[in-house]
Amino acid sequence: MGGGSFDSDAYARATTTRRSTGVPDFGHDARIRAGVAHGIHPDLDPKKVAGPTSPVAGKPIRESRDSDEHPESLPIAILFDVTGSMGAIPRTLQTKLVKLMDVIREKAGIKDPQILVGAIGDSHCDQYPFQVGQFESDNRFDEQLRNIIVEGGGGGQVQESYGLAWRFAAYHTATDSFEKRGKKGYLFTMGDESLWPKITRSEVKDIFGVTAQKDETVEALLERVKEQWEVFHLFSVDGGYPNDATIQNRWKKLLGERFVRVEDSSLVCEVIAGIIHSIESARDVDAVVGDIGLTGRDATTVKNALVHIGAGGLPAKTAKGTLPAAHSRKGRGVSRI
Amino acid sequence: MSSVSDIEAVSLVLRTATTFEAIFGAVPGVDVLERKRELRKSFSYLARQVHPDVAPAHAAALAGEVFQRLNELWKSAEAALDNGVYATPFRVGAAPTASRAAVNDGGILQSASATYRLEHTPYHSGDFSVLYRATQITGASGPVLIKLSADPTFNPLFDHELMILKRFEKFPKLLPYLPPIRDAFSVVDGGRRYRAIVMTPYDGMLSLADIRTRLSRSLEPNEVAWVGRRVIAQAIAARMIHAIHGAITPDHVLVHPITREPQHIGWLHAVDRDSGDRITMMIDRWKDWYPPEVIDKKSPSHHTDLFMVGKTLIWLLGGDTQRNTVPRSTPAAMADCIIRCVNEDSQKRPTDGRDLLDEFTRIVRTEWKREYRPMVVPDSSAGS
Repeated sequence: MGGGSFDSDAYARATTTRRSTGVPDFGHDARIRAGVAHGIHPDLDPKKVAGPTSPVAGKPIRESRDSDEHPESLPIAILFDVTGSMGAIPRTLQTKLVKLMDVIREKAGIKDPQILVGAIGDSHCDQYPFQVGQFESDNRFDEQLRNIIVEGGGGGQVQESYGLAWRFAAYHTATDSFEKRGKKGYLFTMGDESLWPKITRSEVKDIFGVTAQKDETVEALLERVKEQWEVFHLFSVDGGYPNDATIQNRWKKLLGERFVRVEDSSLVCEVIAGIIHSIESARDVDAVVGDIGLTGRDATTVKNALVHIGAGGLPAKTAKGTLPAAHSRKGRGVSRI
Repeated sequence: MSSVSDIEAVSLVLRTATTFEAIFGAVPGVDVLERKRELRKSFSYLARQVHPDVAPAHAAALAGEVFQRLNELWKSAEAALDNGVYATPFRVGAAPTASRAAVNDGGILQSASATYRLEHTPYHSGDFSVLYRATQITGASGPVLIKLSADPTFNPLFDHELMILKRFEKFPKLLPYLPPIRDAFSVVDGGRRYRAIVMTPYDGMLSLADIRTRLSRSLEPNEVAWVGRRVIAQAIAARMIHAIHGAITPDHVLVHPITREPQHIGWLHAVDRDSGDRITMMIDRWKDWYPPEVIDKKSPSHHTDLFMVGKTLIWLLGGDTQRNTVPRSTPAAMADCIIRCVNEDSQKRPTDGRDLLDEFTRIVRTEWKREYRPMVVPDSSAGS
């Protein structure tokens, strides 16, 4: 995974061709609905294991790796709720994600972003509660978006299994960005509901096909995932529960300023680009919104979403030179509590 | 009146120190004048210990000799401040000589602000980092310490530590007692990126763990009297920046045995007080130091740091850190004060580090007055 590059023109051509030939944008979803296909698309199955040449061969792990073409890969995972009123999100991503990549590369200075998309449902009642693609450096994420089954279900319980996204990022990803550079990837979940408090062993078995040691609370999963990912939740204010304080307080307690209210879901790509840009460049909100090319009401909406996001850590400049030959030691004597 | 051991203690420092800092401390100040005033304070403090007029008669000759040497070094240190070379080693042999540097050359690192020549062999390996001695060869040249992440996956911990330390900028009086950071950057080596933090070396500073090792014994209660106040201060410093230090252990409190200045390190373990974050890393060799709230995965509080302070003091006294007992030689009031810190119930620990410090100070002043008791710590070669 991770070859190729984003190409806005190629993306536009593919979309036009689909339209002119009558191929629906969400092909697999349409085939499922028509009864000519069954089950989760194999490329999006969380049980899909890494290939034989991978260092994590045979394990259900998605990899974001460097290549000659992309030596500084940075993983960006976007996992959204596809139930109920959130069904339009994949389409928004599909139409805007390529442009978002341009902003991330050109303005935020990230040379080699690798995008993974996925969909979250409700593991208590949905047939396909978790679908996840691969990290891609090119337009293939578009294909994966097209294969997502937009279930439109949800259990009417105001809770979705967002913890699956954290379980996935914490245990089922391997990234060169973190392993070789100590650089955390970006993980965005998006939706309008609250989250189930636990991910159980049986859910892990059903969805990822592996045995977890125990049920895990979302708090524990979040702690774990934060070690390797910058974690955000984008809350759709224009979703099904715009004013439900219980839902929002639950998220705020978990994520603090990284719980981001998005007033207009059609601007989700701009908000994602804005967050990454602010953190990477440490520029202020006005400059960031200007760089994305927004004006008027859209600019205000995105600014409102970004205003609480602190500038990133310390921009670490790179020194010239090499380390003493002996420098290669793992830490010692520290356990996880 | 001073004692022979006081004089010998100062004498040892004067004979072995390689920088003025190792003798007189960092002497912080906004300009040379203020630094000279600090230097004078430090000098006066040491001079009182070795002045021939207060020395026992049989040690007058030694006192005279040490006092004279101290005066010479004070004058030299003033000149060094004038010339901006206070932190530079003043004795050839302390800094790497040409031939040693050739053998122990770990290469050059050139950051945006300075160039450093590293020694090849690490000076110290921590839980997440490797420390190298180095020499800054451009700008304010002189010896430095470079702390590198041991593995790229520890880089976020370095960033976290820098962010925590940045909070102390609001408390300039505390800065001399924190890692003196001069530069921070990344280094790419073999396709892997490591974080680097450059610090002014804190010569003469020893961790409490080092001190016990070098002494080959636990500390006497009258030694814990002053060391303990520095340990409590670490919890207070953390509280000032709305954080929990999270790893107040014998490795993370350094003291200068003569000037008694502390240096508080280990901030990459710190947790923001208001974030609801837990302490998720336990240093295995100090596992007794972690209170029930940490083991039970609850959010830590200031009381968590006080628990670790208590464990550190029990350990220094040579007590049992599992059973929370201290040797019988410990004065009862001191023992009570320490044992209260390690109560399993966080609400039964002292309410606040400052109150604890006041109480502890009252106890030690009642017990030992303000008497200066020198601590002569052998250097590592003698101790090992």
